[in-house]
Amino acid sequence: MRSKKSFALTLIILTIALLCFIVLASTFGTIRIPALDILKITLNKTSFLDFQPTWPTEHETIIFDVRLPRVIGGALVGAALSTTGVLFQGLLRNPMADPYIIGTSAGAALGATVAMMLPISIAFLSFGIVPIFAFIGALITVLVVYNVARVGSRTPVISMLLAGFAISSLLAATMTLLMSINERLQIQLQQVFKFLMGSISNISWEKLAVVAPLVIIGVLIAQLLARHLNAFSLGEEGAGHLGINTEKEKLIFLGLGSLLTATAVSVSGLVGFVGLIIPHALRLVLGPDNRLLLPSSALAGGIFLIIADLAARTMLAPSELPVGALTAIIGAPFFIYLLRRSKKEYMF
Amino acid sequence: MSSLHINQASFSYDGNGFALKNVDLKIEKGEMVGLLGPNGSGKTTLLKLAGGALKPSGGEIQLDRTNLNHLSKNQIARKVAMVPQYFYMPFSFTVDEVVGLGRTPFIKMLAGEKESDRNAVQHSIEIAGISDFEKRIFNELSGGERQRAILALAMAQEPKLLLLDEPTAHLDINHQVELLELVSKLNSESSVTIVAVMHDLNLASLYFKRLVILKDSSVFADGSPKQVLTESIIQEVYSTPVHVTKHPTTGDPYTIILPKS
Repeated sequence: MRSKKSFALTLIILTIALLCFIVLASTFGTIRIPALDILKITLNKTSFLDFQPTWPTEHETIIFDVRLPRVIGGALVGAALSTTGVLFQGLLRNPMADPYIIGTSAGAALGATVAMMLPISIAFLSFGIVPIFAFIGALITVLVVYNVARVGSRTPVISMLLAGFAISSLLAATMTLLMSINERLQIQLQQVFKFLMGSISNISWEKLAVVAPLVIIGVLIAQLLARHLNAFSLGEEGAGHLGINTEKEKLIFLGLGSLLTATAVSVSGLVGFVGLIIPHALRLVLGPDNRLLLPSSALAGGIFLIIADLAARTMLAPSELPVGALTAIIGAPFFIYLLRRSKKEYMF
Repeated sequence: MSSLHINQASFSYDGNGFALKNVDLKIEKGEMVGLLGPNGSGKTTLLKLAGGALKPSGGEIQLDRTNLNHLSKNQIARKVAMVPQYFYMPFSFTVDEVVGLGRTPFIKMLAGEKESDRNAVQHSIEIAGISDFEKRIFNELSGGERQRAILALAMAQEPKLLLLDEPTAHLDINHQVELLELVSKLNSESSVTIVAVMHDLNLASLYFKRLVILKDSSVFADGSPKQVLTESIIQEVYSTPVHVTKHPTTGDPYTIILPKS
């Protein structure tokens, strides 16, 4: 067992890094705003401190209304997707599981699309309903994929990929059909398209007020269950012999993963492979103990998506790239590499 | 130590044929019992019922005279540990981390592990003789090392009843003997009640004082190796011609397989 000290140290370092990246990423954009100004502007808002403004007032608007919500939103999406990756990998006993690959994201996206069709949700204005529909979509999908892909107490990579692919295709086709027949969606086609490509551009403090508590609560609950997730690496029967009510906890894990995926998808649309890349990389450095892996993945996932989104909005500025395309460009080859390398281990 | 009473227990996997039919078996505190029988005779099913992984469709299983159905999974796990036949570990946990999983039933969700938990893990590692490689990756161990690490995991649960499903199945003779010696020691020194599914009649004869033979989902014979391992019983149960002689040093029954043609 690794010592408590290095547990704490790892988390402290990652937390500090996350905060630094939040400030750093906010400095970039069409206008460069120095990090020090951002800190001062933020601290002024707390009303404990009062720095003399040496910056134009529109900088405050840019930081507060545009950049900070977006950067924080990115961090939350990354944290939610990485945490889900760890949860699904532990539960399916399969290091290749990822909410995007096994179709949970597609389920959430279909749910969100349906929400957008409803007359009460004009564009994204009544945001609260989107995560609920996304959650229902994600949960149904994950239950279907889980039961289709399982062979005994294991979920082999091959059957998981096939089940995930088949279900995702079905969901994507349904979405295409909906888009071609529903007028409301056609009016918002630009919006829907952005959603399918994965983008964090459409975010506000109102949305964050819904999303942030969900992600934080989800990550904390996952942390409480980390020890039991470790026991699940012995399989359902093995976990049962360690006193775990496996049927109940399995549903909790799947529900929690669906909730986090749905929350992420409601903000960013389909951003893939984050839940694969981050936990994988961290396992190499920190080992597989979920008590450390879960919180580290949440923090590192946040950092990763902040950087990816920064690249997406600055690389070809002023035009923006969909961040989902960027993570897929990094993630898909990584996935193929893992698949090649682990062929013997996981394929049967 | 715990007692295990199986009263008229039946089990069916699909509702049609029985995997176990009206099995009566009383295993008292401190016993070390070997379960024998041909493939499909219900040995593993019986073990799963005893561990609470399956619930009997008829009859009842009593652990220390309490019906297993009335105990929570956690209460069972604090008394009963299971060593499976095969064990797939998808992640690169170290050996001591794997053994540490045995403390799961004792650690409350919000509390961390206590001194007693760490001691139990360390103690199991020492008894199982795996201290030399406790920091190695579990998946990189040899078959014999793995089996001892899994036994240490079960022992970290500080079980009163230890169930083993063919613990020697994939081991060479040296490791088979080592493992059974270790299990015997647990039985005699830590007075853990042992129930083990065995395939090898001669190993079973050497290490178990009581053997139970299952045939067609029911108990066919139950007694000491001398009472149970007779030519007529073995030939009837396994449909294989055998010659039973005496072990040259211990005097236990020793089965020699005769070719069928």
